[in-house]
Amino acid sequence: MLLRCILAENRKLHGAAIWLVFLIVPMLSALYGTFNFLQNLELLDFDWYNLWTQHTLFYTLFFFAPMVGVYAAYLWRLEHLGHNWNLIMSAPVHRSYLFVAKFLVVAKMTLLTQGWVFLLYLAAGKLWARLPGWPPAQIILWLLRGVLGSLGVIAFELLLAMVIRSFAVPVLVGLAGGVSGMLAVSKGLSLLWPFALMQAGMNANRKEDMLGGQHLPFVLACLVWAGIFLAVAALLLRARDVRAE
Amino acid sequence: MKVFWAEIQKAHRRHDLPVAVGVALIVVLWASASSPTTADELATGYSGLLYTLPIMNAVVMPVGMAALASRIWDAETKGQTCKLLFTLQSRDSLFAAKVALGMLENLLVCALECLALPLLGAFRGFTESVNAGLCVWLVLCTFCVNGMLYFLSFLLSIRVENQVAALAVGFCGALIGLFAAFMPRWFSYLVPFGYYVPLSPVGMNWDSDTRIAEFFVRPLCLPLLAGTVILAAALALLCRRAIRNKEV
Repeated sequence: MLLRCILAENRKLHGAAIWLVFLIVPMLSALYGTFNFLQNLELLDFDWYNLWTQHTLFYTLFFFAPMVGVYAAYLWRLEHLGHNWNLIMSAPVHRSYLFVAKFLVVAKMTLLTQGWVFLLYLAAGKLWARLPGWPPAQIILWLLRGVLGSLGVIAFELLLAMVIRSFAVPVLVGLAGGVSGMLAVSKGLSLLWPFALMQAGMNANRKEDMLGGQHLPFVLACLVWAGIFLAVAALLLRARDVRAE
Repeated sequence: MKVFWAEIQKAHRRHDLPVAVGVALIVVLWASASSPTTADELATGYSGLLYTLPIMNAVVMPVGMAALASRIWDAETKGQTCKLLFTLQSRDSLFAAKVALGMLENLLVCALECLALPLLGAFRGFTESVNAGLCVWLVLCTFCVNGMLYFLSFLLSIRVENQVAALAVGFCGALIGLFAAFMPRWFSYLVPFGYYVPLSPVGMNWDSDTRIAEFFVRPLCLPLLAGTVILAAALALLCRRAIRNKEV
């Protein structure tokens, strides 16, 4: 049943406008990052790590969380239109599966986004900046850590988009979350705030690994935050009855 | 007036007030975290704030205005109420009421940001005296650029039922606006999303050798402000036309 829910969610993404967001936002970030890198070579070393700091500077701080907000809001918006709530709530599937399926689909989109970010980073480094050699394998690890770090944000944004029947609010909250995450990272509280986890995982704007040896606490924090929001969503779906528009 | 009151009631049910306050709070939260702490920095505290606030606005406001405009029109899209409304009232009155509400929310955002300036200064213990004229200029410019972006997002919300368009343009615009803020001045004039920065009342000279930043008061860029108002007016006319010609 969960698989069918996932397939249904995937089908909703066919031809969806959010693919434009998926393509354009990382592209703008890569353009800006590479340009900034090439303009500041007297301050930065000419290597892949320094290019990474510029590529992730604004993408992870300000634009990743609103982008997840767009993904989440889009998937829930379809249910908020017309009488679709009645339809999905009367579908013969466990109510939690509806949320989990959306969660997995947004997580898949986030993974694809990270892949796209890496491709842009590689292309910008080789073709535009003409950096020697290839990016360190550690970058791929940071990207995957970014996906793990984003699980809490995904679950939170989906929960928000489910409860607040507005497309704009999750996106705006995503932006606020990005700013708050940046502040949490600067105070060394990255494991205690879901919006900071992604930035810590991605090693945003840093050359040295922000997590150091703290991989296990990081993974635990990611799972705990995602688990909390998934549990709240499941509880709300069970407790609240259908509210027809 | 009745139409405007109806819009106020819709806004009340939509909880627009917390959203508008939230937009201002994002900027204030960010500004409060990056406020100066050393004695030298405290002596230029307000100048620093007046320099950084437009940059923060360039990140937050395009998304914030898109969110406000999208919510104001989305109520009609989701409720499929246009057909009913257009039979009960003139299309122009609907447009006017929605613009009045949007500008009121915009004013609230700007006023909160302006109020936060002296509060942040008092909280952080700035030793520099606040320049009221520069604050007024900042608020005026922020209001005008916000208004322009509001009309752009409003236009997209009317034209495209899917609210992804307004929001996506808003935060792609924020990214491009931020990009433009650090480009040569002529380039920043080409990106209306980032007009907050060229209209900023305070500039900064950064000496990379001594690593000392020096703030200076910029001459007021009236032609750019006039250009912003003209652009906002043109977008408002397009919005009005879009509502007038909307098929229901």
